[in-house]
Amino acid sequence: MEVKTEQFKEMAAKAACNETLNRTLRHAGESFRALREKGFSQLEDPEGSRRRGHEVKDRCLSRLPELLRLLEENVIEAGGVVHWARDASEARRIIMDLVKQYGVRTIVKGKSMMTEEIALNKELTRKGIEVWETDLGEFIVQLAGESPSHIIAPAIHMNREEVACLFEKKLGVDYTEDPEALTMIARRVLREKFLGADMGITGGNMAVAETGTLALFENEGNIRFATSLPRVHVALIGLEKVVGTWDDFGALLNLLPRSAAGQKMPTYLSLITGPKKAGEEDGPEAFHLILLDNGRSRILGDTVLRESLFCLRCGACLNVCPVYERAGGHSYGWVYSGPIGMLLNSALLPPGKARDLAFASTLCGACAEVCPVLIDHPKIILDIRRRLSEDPLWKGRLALEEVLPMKVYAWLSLHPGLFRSAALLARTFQTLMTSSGRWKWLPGTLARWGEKRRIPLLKKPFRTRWPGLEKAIRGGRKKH
Amino acid sequence: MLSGGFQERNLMTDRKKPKRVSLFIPCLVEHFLPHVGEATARVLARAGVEVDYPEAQTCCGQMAFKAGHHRDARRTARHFMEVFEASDFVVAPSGSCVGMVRKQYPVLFREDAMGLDRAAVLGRKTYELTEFLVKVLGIIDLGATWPGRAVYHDSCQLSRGLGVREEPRVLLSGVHRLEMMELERAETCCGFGGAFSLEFPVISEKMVEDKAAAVVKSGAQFLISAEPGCLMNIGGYLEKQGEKVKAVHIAEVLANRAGESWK
Amino acid sequence: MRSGARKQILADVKRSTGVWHGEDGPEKKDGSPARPPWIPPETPWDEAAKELEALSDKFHLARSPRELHRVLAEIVREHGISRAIRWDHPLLEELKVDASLRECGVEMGIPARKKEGRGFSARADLGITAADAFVMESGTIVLRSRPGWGRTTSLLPPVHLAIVTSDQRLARLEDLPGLIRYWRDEADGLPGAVTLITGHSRTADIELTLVSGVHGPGIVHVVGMDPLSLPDSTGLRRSTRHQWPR
Repeated sequence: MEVKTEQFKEMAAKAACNETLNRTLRHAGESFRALREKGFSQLEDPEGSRRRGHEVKDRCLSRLPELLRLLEENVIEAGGVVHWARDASEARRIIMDLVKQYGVRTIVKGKSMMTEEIALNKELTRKGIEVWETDLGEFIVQLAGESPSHIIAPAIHMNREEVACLFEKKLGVDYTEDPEALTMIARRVLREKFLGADMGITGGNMAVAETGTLALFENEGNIRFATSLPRVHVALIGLEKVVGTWDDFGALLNLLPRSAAGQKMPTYLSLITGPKKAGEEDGPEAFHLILLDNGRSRILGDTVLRESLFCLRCGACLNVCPVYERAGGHSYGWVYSGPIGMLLNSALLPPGKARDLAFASTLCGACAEVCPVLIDHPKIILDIRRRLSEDPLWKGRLALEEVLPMKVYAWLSLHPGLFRSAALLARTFQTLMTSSGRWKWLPGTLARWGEKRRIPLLKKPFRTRWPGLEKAIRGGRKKH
Repeated sequence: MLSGGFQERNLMTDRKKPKRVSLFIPCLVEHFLPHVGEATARVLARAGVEVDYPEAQTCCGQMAFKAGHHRDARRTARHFMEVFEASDFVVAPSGSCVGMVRKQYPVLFREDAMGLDRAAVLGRKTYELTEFLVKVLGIIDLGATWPGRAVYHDSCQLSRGLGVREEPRVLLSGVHRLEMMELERAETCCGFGGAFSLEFPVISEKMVEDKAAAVVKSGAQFLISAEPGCLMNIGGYLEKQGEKVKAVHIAEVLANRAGESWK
Repeated sequence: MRSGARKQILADVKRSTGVWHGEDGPEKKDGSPARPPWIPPETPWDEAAKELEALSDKFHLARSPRELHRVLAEIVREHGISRAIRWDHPLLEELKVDASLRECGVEMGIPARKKEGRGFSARADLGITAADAFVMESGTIVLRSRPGWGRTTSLLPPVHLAIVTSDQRLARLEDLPGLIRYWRDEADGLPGAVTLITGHSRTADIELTLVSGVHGPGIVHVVGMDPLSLPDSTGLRRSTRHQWPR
């Protein structure tokens, strides 16, 4: 997927002024938040479950070399094939080779952020392969030529009129705005594709090393189709998706559907172990699992960024983030959006590429409060900011006007006497620049702050008031 | 929450009270809201502690730290730690500044064993005002009066950051003639975030707009918060938009007594 | 070149994670795990009925093959079923499901017996399966894919009916790991697919409006039966249930 992280400020500002999008995202956030709360309230020990989830991810990532080997061994024993891809281009090449090997002309896809990471669809389409997204939201954005804007609800930014126009134009059906009718149209169209497809490509929520099993969570059924009908099933997962045991799986099963949509279980949970066995009439003849690194092995060794690999892709952080609510998913400029997007985009893209994302946060902590695996987003964001300021690998060029005021203030803070004088100087400046309590001129960013807010005036600093205050307190103490 | 009649509801009256509290005055209070500092001092005095003010204090380093300038922040922090080294307790009318000292100083000094030690010591004795009053002094009624209807806005740094949610509410429930109203989405961020409001003005404005709308909708006459930044942000917005709601710091409310003018 | 990628990735990961000093994992098999904690067959079905209702699906209790026949007739009527497919499964044979449905005017097909083929399945209105397990806590049907027990039977038709017997129920989702391990050991490896079905296919991708039956069935009927209600001669009692031939 094309990287547009540098356009965040611009795109976010535009999105924030889009009233329709605002209403949609606000409503979505509220709905998902309510569902999640209900789901978690059903747990005996919600906090304990989250701690356990964190511990499971931590342990499994720490044992990754061993678990990867075990997973591979078991997938092969079950009749599957395992491929290893260091980066996006390697992954694409593996898939293209499989397409050739199996004479594939039509592909049906389940929702997969990994395939977005490696920009797969574009490549396949270029080579003349027909690719169909089959998750309803993904299907819609694919038709629209857009990218998904939310981990759980990819087409959340579009309203029914837009979908109606889209279907009319791209599918040649009669115009209808009824969500049910539109859904049935998609069902009809995609069912035909499922029945005729040569290959199904999915991601994977988890891969259990203990038995070499891929776990796929969904509510629609498109993943079941993609893994039951076509001759070949190709699954693409990031290294971090591997867990050790079925108990590890159980701990995360407890968390993922509840955190995403308040469910005890997803509607369909497919546990795939290799291709179909002899005698089965449904299922793929060949199962190919692609393990993709694409920067993960590097992040794994980073004590702070490592935690971002714990992510279960539930979307809970998006649903509580006040910045995401206004900026929308597309503003984040790459595969991942919302608070986790800030982390993953910063970690997976070249250092510093997603600079604005790290600063587009008030560090309010709502994300960390809901994360099912206790990822501490604010802590990680703060460390990314440190790198953007002090790490040569991340720094890039910092504008003088960005840095100078902070540097001056920091220096003054070491010299109390000068600190006091500077305050006096600032107040003198203020006297000159204000009349009747209103500022007449201020530098750019400060003036902008004052567009919708009353700009505060510098007062006689607290320290000058202390002598008088101290007397009053000490003297009046007897009364109190 | 309605305040009942004036009642002495001190939880642990025979507990040995701390002797000395050093005032930690955040930058925003120092320069823009000095009256909040005054109110804080008076509240603490009324609570029976001796208040002092280390004059060499300047800044806790939060701004530099959050901008990613850890080296600068560490220098400022070392100065700060030195200034408050001798204090028994350090109290500030701000969750974000206390959060900086308690939670981020250990991060700043992660690779400096001595700094880490000093930070740990300081962190253990640094408190936000309401948490100090309730948790350390065991006081929930200061005999304050504030007639009117008000809502309380939780600052992110105080509620989620330090886990301080009940203390301000308990203190406000003891204020005579004060009627607390429900604020929708009280814990949702107001959009200040320090430099965030300057760097991402459009999003920040949308956030404060929603927060202000909730405040106005509640029918309150006063917006109370324990966070100077939030007050400047929401209060500044309300004022510019011509709303009648007044933004006040909880210290001002707690310091206020009938028939007294301390301002 | 490919093995080069494998080697490099493993080396990179190893370098990042360092040496693991914790306990060894229990992933390697060490003796057979215990039988799954099936709940007593006498346990009432109330919790299951509640869960399915909350999912807007249906639960029916059939205390005898005759009651099952009534349930089937009801479902045929409710959904206007004219064509149905089913698993090639001893329980469904024994319960004479085909006869019941034909009596209601429904055309039956068994996809496993090749002549029916996928075309028939794709045009079916109803898909009938047995179940390998059922989780009471969530109302989840657990199906193993086997020859004759196809994945699409519960996927293609718009209505899915699963017959669950009272002796193949688990209380909680946390019992699943044990179940999976048991199945792995019993059959020396897991089947190609274990599908856990909780309710019917749904989406809210268009304006967060909930729509049912987007790709999979739009409704699920679970029929609970007591295997003891079946004639002894069938040999389908509890003790033999989990050793069906295949």
